[in-house]
Amino acid sequence: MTSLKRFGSPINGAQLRTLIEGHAVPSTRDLGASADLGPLKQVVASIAHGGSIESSTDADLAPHVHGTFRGLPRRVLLDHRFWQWLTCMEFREYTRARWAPEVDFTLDPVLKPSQQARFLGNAGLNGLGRNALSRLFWAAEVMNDSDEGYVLTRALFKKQDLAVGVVERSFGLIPEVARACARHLADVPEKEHREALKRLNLRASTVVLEGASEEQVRALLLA
Amino acid sequence: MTWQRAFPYATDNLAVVGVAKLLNSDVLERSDGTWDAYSESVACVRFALRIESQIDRLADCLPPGADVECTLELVVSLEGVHSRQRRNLYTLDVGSHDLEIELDPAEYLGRVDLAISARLKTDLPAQPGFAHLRASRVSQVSLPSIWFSEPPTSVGDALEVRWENFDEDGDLVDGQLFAVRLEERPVILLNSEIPKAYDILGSKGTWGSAARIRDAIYGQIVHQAWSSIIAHCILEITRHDEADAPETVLAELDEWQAQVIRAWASEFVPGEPDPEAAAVTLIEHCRETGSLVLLHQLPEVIQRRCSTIDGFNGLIKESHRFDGGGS
Repeated sequence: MTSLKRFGSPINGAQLRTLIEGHAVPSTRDLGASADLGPLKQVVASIAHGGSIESSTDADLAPHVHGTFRGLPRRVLLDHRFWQWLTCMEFREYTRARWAPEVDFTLDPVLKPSQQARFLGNAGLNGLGRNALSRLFWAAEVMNDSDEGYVLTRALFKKQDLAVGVVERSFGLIPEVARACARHLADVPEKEHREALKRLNLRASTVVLEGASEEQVRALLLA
Repeated sequence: MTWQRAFPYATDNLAVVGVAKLLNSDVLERSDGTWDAYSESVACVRFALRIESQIDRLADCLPPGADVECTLELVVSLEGVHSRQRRNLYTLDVGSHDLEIELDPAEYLGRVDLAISARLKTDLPAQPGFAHLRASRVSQVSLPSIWFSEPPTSVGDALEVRWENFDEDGDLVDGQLFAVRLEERPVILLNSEIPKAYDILGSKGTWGSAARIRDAIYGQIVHQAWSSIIAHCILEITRHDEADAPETVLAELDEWQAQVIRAWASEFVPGEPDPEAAAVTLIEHCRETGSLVLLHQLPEVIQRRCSTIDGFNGLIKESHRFDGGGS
């Protein structure tokens, strides 16, 4: 079992580089909780090939990430300093292999801002949707489909563009909306699902989506 | 299938009235009307909610002949982006209701917004000027927002100032009055070892020589600080891939950097009042014209926004007082 921690303060790009270079480790706080990270690390090891991890592995990894952390208090799961600690310390190599496979930390640990965001994220809607692990966790959490073998979570991550379009929009916080998007858009061409999400976003400005059933959301998506 | 205009349609945000009253004394009301559920250890936020529906006003939002009670319903909804929650708490018939709502602080972070909406229960035949899609909102009233953790201070509007002994910090230069550090968030450090600096820069007066010197020196410090901070943010934009959408760039900047860009963008994009749209335009300008063009505008933009000339004018007034040339 691993004692879980968070960074004392959120770290930025410069601190991330210092950390990767091994010059300094930011202060951490013990969260008073532990988790068995071994099985998740084994899964990560099994999907890495030649120092890189394909985007197609998100669909299989998301259920494992969710299963590992789902028992933690919600305020811990909402704390991006916890997710930063995970991606920067415990799952640094996963985050690099998945999002910066061309970067060799031992030679030149320079990350583009978009790659830094995968280690860092922030407290906002986009931020938790950018961190390499919290994006997988929160997508599975909103789908609420662990009893169904995470079938909708897997469907959502079949298309990266669909996952971003749902998880990083405000309407994606409503479980019925997120589930309807995964169920009805995962198998349509990219152009169509983009248009459907835009249409839903537009309608969400005049329609109260909270409390809508999946079937009602489907009607709005595909009308 | 033919296109049907979904909006604009008749709405009336005064057709539903909601009054929320706190039931626990350890939740405080803030000066801006929001509720503070973070300063004290709160086991549960409890409040009473009284809802009144103005049937005549709601009827005006519906096509002639539509029955208000059969056509509309009320929804009490909750949204907290940092809590990653959007859900409805109650779905009610149109009318008057007294509810009691409890929220567990362990479930929330940041700000949570509550609202009451009146929405269509079903699709209606389309009629110009009236909502017809199921769940269309015809009335909405916002309730006080609740803070479950301390509200962030926007870096774009104000800068944190700290006093430090520069002699004791190897990274700060002895004898200098101030330094700007870009750490987790930007901060202005003032040197407590400069004689009289604390007395003058920490003074609270509104007139007299100390206040005049304070305002003039702060004008100088603020100008230099914002120059460094905004330049840093503009250069950070140029580090992103040109192919990234401006919205993506904003999302990937550090939170404070995005706050600065949003807060200052309208100064660079006159005539665009929406901070989000101005920030997008600023990023596009930065790419089209290069960062140097924007950096050249900094002195003008900062002087205009911060009115740094006021400090100089204050000193002139003060000197006239001693010269006998003014009051």
